[in-house]
Amino acid sequence: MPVSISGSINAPDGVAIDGKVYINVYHAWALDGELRHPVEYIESFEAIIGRFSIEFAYPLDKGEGLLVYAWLDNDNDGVLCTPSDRNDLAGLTEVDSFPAAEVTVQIELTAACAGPDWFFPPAT
Amino acid sequence: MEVDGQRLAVVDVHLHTGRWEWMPPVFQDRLSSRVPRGFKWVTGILSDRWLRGEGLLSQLDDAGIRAAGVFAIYSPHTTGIATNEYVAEQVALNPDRLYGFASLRVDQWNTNGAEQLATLEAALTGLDNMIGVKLAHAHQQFRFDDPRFYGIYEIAGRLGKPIYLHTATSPNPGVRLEPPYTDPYYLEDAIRRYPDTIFILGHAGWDTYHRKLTYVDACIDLAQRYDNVYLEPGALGAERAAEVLPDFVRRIKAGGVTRKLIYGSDGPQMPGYTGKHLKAFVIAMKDADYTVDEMRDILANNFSRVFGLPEFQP
Repeated sequence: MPVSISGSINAPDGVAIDGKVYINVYHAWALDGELRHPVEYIESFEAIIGRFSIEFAYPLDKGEGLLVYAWLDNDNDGVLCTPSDRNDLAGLTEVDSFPAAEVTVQIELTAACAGPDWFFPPAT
Repeated sequence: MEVDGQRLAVVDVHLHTGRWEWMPPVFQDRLSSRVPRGFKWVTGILSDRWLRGEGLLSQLDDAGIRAAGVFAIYSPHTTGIATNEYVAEQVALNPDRLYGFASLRVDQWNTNGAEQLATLEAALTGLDNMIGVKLAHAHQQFRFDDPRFYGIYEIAGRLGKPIYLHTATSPNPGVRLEPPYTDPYYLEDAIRRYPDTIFILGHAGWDTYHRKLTYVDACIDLAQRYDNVYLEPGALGAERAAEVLPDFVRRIKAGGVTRKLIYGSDGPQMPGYTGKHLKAFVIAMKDADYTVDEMRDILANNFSRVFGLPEFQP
């Protein structure tokens, strides 16, 4: 199913925003029974801080729901943090009312060195 | 295994178990791809047979291997699930030869992390013959440097159960390839914080996806600097690693860490794999002028020492 995502990726005030932003989209959940698990990878994109727009083919038969995860590569090393550099920020949003052909999201980069599992599923 | 007229005991710390029905479709497809088209329907049947305790023991017998570690794994994104209870059932077939490694689910940590830690501790203390913990960050999709999971290392250290951790990459679909999930330096904070916990760096940094020894020097460096770090060369005796194996064993010897290397294969894979892996590894050690004592350490005695078990006899 073709899906178009638009929206904004925002960093806290005072954070350098010159770096590339990496976006990953995931199924919120995949498979059934004991194999049911969250955060099943679909595809990756690149963007910059601020407004963005991406399109991709959502595989309806591979899972359900949609997560949009992003991280800001402050030091342009292509890696979300190193053992000594802990400043790259990440954020994730779960899309409400999905599936849908067009969605709008706002992602706040709030957590340093955080993979998507840091955010989802959230603590209850 | 006979080397220079001396018989050496062999322990393979790294074997897998499981059932076809507990594997995700992507992994089932990968296993089926190895079988001729007309025979794909038997893959599940054969896989179950190879992965059961009887199948593991048969491979060990064929390879002349005295004992083995058998891993639980909770990796629904990649290779599937083999529960702690299932591992305990398999190792119970021959507890003098099969030793279990418990694991836990980490994919919903924010909601059930405390429960998972309790389940892990219960498995390590309540199931017979569980001698260690198995983790695979790249498969299980959690970062080496994520402090939310340090409770695992606390439990392992407190209970005296060494942890085997998969390092570097894997050719299996869905496995994370980024450094925070593969580069052992991202573990150094945990290694330092938990000096009573033994960290066995599985595959010793062998970047099988890219067919390079990408993280081997990092693993050797950590083994040199930390008393609680050991290495394991799983899959380095496989055909895929044939070009790099000589370099690997040379680096281990040059790094002075032969007493830190615990032999393992990442078997059973397919019939005959564990024996071929062992043979290739021993030939590589001979070609690199390892002494018989060094080989004896790597093939069995380092395992006994680290896990507090008697030395195995050939």
